[in-house]
Amino acid sequence: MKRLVRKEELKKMLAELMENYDIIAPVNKEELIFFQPITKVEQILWDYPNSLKPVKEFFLPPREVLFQFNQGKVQPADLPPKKRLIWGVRPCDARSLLLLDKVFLNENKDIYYLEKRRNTALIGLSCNHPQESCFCTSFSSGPHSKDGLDLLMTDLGEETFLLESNSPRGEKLLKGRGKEVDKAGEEKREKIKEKAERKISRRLEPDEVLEKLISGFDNPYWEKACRQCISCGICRYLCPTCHCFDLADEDSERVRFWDGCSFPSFTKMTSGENPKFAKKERFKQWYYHKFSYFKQNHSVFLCVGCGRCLRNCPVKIDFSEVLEQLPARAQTPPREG
Amino acid sequence: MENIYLPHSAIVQEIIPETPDIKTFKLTFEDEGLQKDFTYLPGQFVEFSVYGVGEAPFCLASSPTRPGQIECTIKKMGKVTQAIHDLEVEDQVGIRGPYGNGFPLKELRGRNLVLVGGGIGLAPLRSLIQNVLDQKDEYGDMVIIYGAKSTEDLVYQKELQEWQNSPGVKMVLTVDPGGEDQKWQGEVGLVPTVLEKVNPSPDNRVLVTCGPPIMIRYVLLSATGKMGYQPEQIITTLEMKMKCGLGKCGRCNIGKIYICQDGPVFTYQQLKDLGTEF
Repeated sequence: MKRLVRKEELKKMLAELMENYDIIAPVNKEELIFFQPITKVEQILWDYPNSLKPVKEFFLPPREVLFQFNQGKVQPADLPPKKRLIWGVRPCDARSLLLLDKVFLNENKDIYYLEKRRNTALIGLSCNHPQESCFCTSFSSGPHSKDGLDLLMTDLGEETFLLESNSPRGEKLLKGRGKEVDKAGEEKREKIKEKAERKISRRLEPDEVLEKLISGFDNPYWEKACRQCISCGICRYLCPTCHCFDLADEDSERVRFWDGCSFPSFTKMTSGENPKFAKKERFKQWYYHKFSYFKQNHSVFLCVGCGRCLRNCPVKIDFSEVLEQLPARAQTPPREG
Repeated sequence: MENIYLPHSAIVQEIIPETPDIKTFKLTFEDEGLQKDFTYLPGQFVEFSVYGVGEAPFCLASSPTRPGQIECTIKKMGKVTQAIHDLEVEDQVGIRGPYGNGFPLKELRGRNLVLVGGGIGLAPLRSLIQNVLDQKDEYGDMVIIYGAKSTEDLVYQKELQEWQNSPGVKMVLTVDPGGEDQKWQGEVGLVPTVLEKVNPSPDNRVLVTCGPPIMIRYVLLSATGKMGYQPEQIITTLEMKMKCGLGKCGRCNIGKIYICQDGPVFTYQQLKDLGTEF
């Protein structure tokens, strides 16, 4: 279902939805964009470069209590009862959730993740102003992709949005709003979409990258590529698809925390042995997980091209360039032993 | 829906001190139904919780052919294992699992075996040994080569004698040079050296080895060298840092293989196929 909806009506729709949903939306906080729970429609941004943090934190929180231990009883933490709606999520971030689903909703379903996913409607906003660091079009996706969304809004200008449903839940939300989309509306949206796609000049060829990675594990190139990295882990934390975690007990609670392959402690065993102690190994693990292992295991690359790793690296490592510059068909000496 | 991270309550029934820093814990689940239904393969592992301290993975040292309780043999190494060593009989702990692939029993049936263990690495092999002894007719002969640093570091001392006396079993014990005492009647020397000396023929035989990585490395070299074993005739277990046991937390991979789910048991051929990433 497609409808043309005036911005004023969208605001009313949001105010209505607030009665039944916790609304999470993009807001400006000291010149940085964050998704957070809101209580007033006026707080919402309608045009913004993508948020600093992805929306994964609403499904896989940085710190999450899984159980409480109470006199020998293990009590699973309560799951949020009220429905949530994320408003204005960008297509790249919506797509990242489909990738996380492959990890958390496979045959061993993670109930904490599942409940939050089930409980949350996703209303997307097409990305009309991609940044230099964006490369979503490298993954058969794009700034106007509906993948993973219940509803996609596209700003056509002049206070008008084209809304398109992409699920029964989205259809229900959209029913009876605005008016039918005319030909002029369709054409305008198509133009805006093409313009947005053209703005994305950064490009990665993931299939070529995969081939290079498979032959390049021992390439001395990695020594050089990782030299600048300070292992701060910000690329992992801000990545919408990074999902590695730690489980630990804090007093009477079992807690899940974000963890990441940039930290030496990630793979350090109690015996002191650590197969990925060297910075080079930790640096590689990230690229190999996203562009080789995940692809081999799940038939899809674990990257949506949101560009957060590029924009936020304190030592300005250009992540897609690292992959592009990896030599093809490495000349590696035969391994001994 | 099942909560995959939820530990099941279990009670410590018995604690057997094995060495100065290793103890075996016999556990039963509180839930009788679970106790009855809980089954597993030798080589699989569980996540063992001490509530409020943490959780860590340990192989099952008992055999599914001897139901009624499960056993884990645990060395005091860090925070969780210290808390486990502080446990007393009747204390409550948490167990979830079993996880991992386990030893390929189907492929071991009808074959002769040589089991090569070092230190606490005998724990997963013990599960296999008990299983084989309980289903003797289904397997060929069994050679057990087991070594530790010193005589007091050998685990399952009582059981070692039982195995030695079982028909169809040849057992050779060894301690590292300097680890012997006056009563010691076994070998003195490193496990790979003793393996070469015993030299069990590779005919219709599978070699299974568990122990410290350095020992495994030399066992693989010895076996595939002069002794003439093919890589697909050799089985070993790998150790990696693990948290979830379910292939989600992301730390136990070697290449695209996740040790907690695809392993921990691999043939040497499979490890070779992992190429340079192993």
